[in-house]
Amino acid sequence: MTAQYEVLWPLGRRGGLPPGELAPRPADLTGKRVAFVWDHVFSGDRMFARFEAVASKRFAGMSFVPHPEFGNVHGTTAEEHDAVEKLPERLREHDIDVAVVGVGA
Amino acid sequence: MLRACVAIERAGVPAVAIVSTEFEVMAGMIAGALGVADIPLAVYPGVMLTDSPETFESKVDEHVLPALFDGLLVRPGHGESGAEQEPAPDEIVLRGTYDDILDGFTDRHWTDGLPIVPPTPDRVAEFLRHTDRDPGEILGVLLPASREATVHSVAVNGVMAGCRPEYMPILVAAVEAIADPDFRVEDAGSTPGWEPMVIVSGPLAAELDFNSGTGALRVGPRANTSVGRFVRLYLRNVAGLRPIPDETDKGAIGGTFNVALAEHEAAIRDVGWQPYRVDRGFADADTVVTVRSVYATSAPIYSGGDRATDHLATIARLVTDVVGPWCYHNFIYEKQFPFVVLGPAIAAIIAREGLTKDDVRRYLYDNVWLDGAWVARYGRGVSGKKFEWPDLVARGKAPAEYADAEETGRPVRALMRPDWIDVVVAGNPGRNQSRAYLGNHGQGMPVSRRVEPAAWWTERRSEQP
Repeated sequence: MTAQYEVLWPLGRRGGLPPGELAPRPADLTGKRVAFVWDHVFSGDRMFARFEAVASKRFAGMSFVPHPEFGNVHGTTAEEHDAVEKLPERLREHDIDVAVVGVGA
Repeated sequence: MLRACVAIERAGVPAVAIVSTEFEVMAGMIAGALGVADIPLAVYPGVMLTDSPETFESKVDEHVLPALFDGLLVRPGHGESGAEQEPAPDEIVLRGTYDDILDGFTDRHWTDGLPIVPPTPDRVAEFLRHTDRDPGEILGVLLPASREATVHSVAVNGVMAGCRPEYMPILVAAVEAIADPDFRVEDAGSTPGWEPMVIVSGPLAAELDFNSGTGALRVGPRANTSVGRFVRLYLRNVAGLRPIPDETDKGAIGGTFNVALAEHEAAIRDVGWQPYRVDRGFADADTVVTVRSVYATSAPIYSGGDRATDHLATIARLVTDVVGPWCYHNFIYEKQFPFVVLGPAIAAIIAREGLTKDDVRRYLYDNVWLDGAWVARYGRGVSGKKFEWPDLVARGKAPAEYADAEETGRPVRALMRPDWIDVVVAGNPGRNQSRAYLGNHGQGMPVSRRVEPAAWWTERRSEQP
């Protein structure tokens, strides 16, 4: 008779923070303040510049806060942790409405 | 980058992440694992670093910008509602013949492509008997899957990898190292494709039959091989680093798992150097597991001569080659952890002149240099990062004299700190071979943990003649 086995699960329970919801979206971007948050790779600065140019024409009164205000989210270990940890505080300081984050590649 | 996105959303600010096509699935997996599913993505199609400036602009206008506007304004529907029901640790997940089990694990992506030993409750219990730690103890929460690493899951994956129950304390120490935030396991799927390497130093290595001599890093000896395999399996199953189906492992070419390296205890005693575990801050009597990333491995190199410098000069060249253009990391991420494995005969010649491992480190630090023009060119090729020596000098990340390194090809120092260079003695005592290795800057930096066998096992050892 062929041996039969019963086996256990090799993964583990999900841990970490409890699930969260996406933030409410605005109806349009008129007058909104945008944060550019960058990991300093893959030409994100050029994409941000293009977004700023096009968005400014499409929606009146927009303003933009450049990426250096939010640190490097993919620098040294210390820079990265510091930048991510301080994001909520920096978003509040700059009165940010929406954020564009790049670039994963 | 997704961690930043999740932090922004949790702060109540809508965010959109820009990613390339290749990272689309991975981004969704990471955001979901971090608890904020459905973060909108603006996808750049293709490989941006091989596109011309015109193609780049056209793709940004046609693909990225419309997705950015949509993502900031329109709340996407939730793809998943509620957490899926998953098994409890002591729950039987499959029943059947060996082939049924293997097929089931393969279909669920719980294996590494090799056959596994079925993790039956009896086998797992025997592993747990070899540690005094509580099976439910959480050693950490491993990203990107955000799963709890427990002593119990260490045992399950240890069984699967083909380990012996006696290795359990080694496995627990390895997972403790991986779970340390300094190790940055969340970045173990980065595109360079680095792989953890386990280094075992201490009296238990010989007792557990780790091979530290000829073929020290060859597949074959059960201890070295199965412990190395275990670490990869654990990253796959608990950290969730899998190329398929999650696409959370983005090693562009990647490599296979590393066989665990054991320090040659007799050789280190013979030459009079302190063992690696003492270098790492532990006691001589301890057995210590160190886990570190490796993505660059040198060719094996033979050095000849009866003076220390005959060998050190060759080894310095070996280290130069393995660090190569990756030394651009030194100026961006400011971390670098190379190590060299010296054959016992090489260590003996160096030590005979009274030189210590610190002297080896200092020699390498002083004698490993690279062409500054090549380093800058490579830095830009990796990630399109703006890498300009004058800018790095202005930001205090490079010495002033490097400002013209691109134009002149001035040599730049390729090693960051002597104390970040590790030296391990292993390999064939009858040959004069060395090898050099490099990890991925701060990702997978060396982290060490003391091995703690079960009390009953230690008592039994002490009773043996």
